[in-house]
Amino acid sequence: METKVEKEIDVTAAIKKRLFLLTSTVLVLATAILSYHSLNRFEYSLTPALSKKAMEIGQSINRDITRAISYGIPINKIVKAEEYLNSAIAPYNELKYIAITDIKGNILYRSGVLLDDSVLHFKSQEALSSFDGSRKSSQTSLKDAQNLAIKINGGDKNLGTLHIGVDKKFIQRQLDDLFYDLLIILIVALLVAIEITLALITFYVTGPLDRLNRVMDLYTGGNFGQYIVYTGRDAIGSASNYLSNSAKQLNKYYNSALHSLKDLSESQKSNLEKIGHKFKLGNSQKFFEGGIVDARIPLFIFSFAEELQKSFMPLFVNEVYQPIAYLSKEVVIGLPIVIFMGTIALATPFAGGWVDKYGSRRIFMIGLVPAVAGYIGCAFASTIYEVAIWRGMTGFGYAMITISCQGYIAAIISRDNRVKGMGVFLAVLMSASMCGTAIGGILADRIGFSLVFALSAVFALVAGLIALRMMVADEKTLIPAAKQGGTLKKLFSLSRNGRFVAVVFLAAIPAKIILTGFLYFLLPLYMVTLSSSPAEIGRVMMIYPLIIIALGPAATWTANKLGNMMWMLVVGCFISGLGLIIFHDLGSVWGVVLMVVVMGVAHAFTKAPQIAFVMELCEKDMERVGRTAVLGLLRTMERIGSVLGPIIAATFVGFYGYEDAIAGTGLVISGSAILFLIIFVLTARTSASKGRDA
Amino acid sequence: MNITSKLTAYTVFVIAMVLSLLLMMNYFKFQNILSDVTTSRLAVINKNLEDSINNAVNLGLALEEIQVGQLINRAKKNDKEIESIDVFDANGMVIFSTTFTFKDIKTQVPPEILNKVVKIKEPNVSNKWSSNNNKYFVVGVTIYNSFDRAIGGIVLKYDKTQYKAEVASMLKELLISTGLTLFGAAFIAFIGIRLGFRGLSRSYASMEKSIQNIKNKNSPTAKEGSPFDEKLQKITKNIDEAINLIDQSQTVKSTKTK
Repeated sequence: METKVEKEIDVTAAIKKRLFLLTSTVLVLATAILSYHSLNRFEYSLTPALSKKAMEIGQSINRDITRAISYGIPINKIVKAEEYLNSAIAPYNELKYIAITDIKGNILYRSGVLLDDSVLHFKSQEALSSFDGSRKSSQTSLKDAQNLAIKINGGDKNLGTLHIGVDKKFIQRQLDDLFYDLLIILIVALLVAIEITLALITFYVTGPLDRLNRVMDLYTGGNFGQYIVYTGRDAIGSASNYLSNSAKQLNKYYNSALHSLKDLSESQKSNLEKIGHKFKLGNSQKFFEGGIVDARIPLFIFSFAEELQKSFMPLFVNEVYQPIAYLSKEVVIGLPIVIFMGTIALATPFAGGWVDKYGSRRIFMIGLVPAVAGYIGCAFASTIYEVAIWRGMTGFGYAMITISCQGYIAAIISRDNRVKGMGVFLAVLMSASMCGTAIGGILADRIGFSLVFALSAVFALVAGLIALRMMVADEKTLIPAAKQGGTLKKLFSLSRNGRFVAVVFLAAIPAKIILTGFLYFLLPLYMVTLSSSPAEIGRVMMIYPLIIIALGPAATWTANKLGNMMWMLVVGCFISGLGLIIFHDLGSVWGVVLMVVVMGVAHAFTKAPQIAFVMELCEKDMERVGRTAVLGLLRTMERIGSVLGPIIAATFVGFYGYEDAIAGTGLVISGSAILFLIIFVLTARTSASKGRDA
Repeated sequence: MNITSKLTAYTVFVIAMVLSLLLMMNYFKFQNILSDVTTSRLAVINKNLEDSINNAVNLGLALEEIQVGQLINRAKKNDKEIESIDVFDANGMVIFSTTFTFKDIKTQVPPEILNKVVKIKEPNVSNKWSSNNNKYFVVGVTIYNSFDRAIGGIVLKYDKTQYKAEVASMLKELLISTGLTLFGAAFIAFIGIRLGFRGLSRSYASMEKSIQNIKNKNSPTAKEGSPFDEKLQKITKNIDEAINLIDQSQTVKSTKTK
């Protein structure tokens, strides 16, 4: 089994690599072409709409100027005209300039930024003759602006021209925003493509091919005790069916020989049994192997369903807000999120125990019941209490499903491949988080909050159907009964493992504190003070999961090369805090970007090794309390960090303001890394001697 | 379905999914931008009306005494998509409208509109608001007197027909360009898979041929030296060996019985 899993994680199969490369190249090309075309088409459609707006503004100014002229004031002697133009241009950042010229094109009054190109244009024959006939306005595309010229009349006489320049860069700026959005869509699309391609190819091509190879290896080694079932009508199908039929017939032949020899002596019987033993004949079984991809796709789809709400949850809660005694509005709005997180924290250790007892697939299926009920309940919820209760239900299901997938991967993976396996688990969660958040916001905008919840329920059910088909039978992930039961008692017994406690309190919890305290809480609030738009904030926040996904393989490679995950944890934890300390007072969006990048890189190198390191530290404990229970406890403690993060950050903000609060959070994290190092250095000798004793 | 067709089908499926996602997002994005640009233009019309009314209010005239009718009718005339412009007082009673004469019909603006009127001007809170339904964009502005108390507001209803037509035309264009891009991408994928997976395709074919040969009782040497054939030969040999051993046991049995 180890060989197979190793193969799968490394994606050594050339088919996968080549196909993924081809799909990505074609996708990037297709997306780039389509996006370029869309941008051009958008520009073409939006320019007239913006010009129409400029026309409204121009007509208003023209009316005021004409009124002044009608009172007998000459056009070149209007008092405070430039002051008026300044106030007229101020509210509209898409306007580059407003100018009033006489009939020869000489500027009388001006406001905004006028380039020589525009000044020359006003005097050009083209501009001066543009009102020939009955035309009252004209448009010209200049170097930096779309110039709208409106004729100023005094009675029947043409007295001059009002020029309004719509900043060409404004349209470009709108399209820049659009470009960034499209870039995010492309990234999301690629992530979805990776997941789907991997699933399809592994499930229908490389998986069966791999299984065929494994069975052929068994048969060439003279082991005919297993057969494969593959219903595809391709070469693999033909080969699998032929080989399986041969193995079954051989088993049948052996069994009939064995039964017909009942009346023979013991030595003759033993002779035949020896043949059976040599070729593993007599009781042939279906060949079955689990792979990471079995849990990967259901987990991705379910997490995607859950993350669809992330971008609008506070807005949704705000819609059903009603005052609760003694609680501020902010606290009430945060209540469903706190209940969701709290339920996950409480349920995870128990769910971990259930996975060990009943199997991953069964717990995944059972977890779907509260999760889907929660989504449907939220879709129909009309009060804050209902939302809180249903989110709690979903949290319960979420805890069961995620821990069942984590437990599944941990069960089928070899000891040497833990970092890689957990890297896959985290990458799936991160990809789903990015895709779900981006798409959920867009969907909510179009179809409303309730329908997004309904959609989540549908996606969760789809995840369940896929899990039912793809995840191996529960027996494969069970932990022996002797090691089950007394979840709480056994988990408390883990507190005797000092190094485990140190990892939890000085690495796992701080990692979550900086994540929720800085990234989810401080960053959006701080960026608002830097005049960033919500779209900008979202883009900066998405850098984090993007780095985690992009550096995942590099982190795995480094962990395997170094082989010392403790140092990776210490350095990663320290650097994540250091980034905040160094860049906290840059006072710009780029400063925030630097902090997120440093934090993302640091976490990319610590996330997967942290889980693998815990499993290494708790090798013996896992035999006693169960593998999934240990991982469940780790996740629970992490959730506590998630809750503590905003509280610590908010406390710092209250005392010191945003920038110092960011630095303070960084200090806490880097400080915990130093403490973590000290504890591990001090306990190294004790731990080594215990290891030798063992 | 052979392996290359299978791989092509999967790849095209994934590309089609991604391009559909892109199409959907582009379409929504365009809808949003056009909606924003349209409502901001309507806000300019409202602002012009608000400025005119404010000038009169600052001269000490009551809202009812201002000749707003001409202003709102001119604004409506300039844009045929404007369905109506109503000016209402602090109680929500419509006092000027482009759709009727206020002396003839006394009407109240709907409560959802009146709810948007902030009674006392708050610092940093905009007096403009907008909403939209399936048929109209609705853009409003609250008018304050010099004591920052709301004295009424303006509501502009804008027909969405033209907007919908533009959005529909964009959707049509996006659908066509997505279809063409998908066709091109599928072609490249098809060629790429044909060329890049020739080896795999050949080994599948040889695998199939080897199996066929065995089924036809030929020796499994369709392509001698290939790992698959080597394994297959070994397996056949193992099966034969097992059968022989079992047969030998049976022979021993027969001899003993005799």
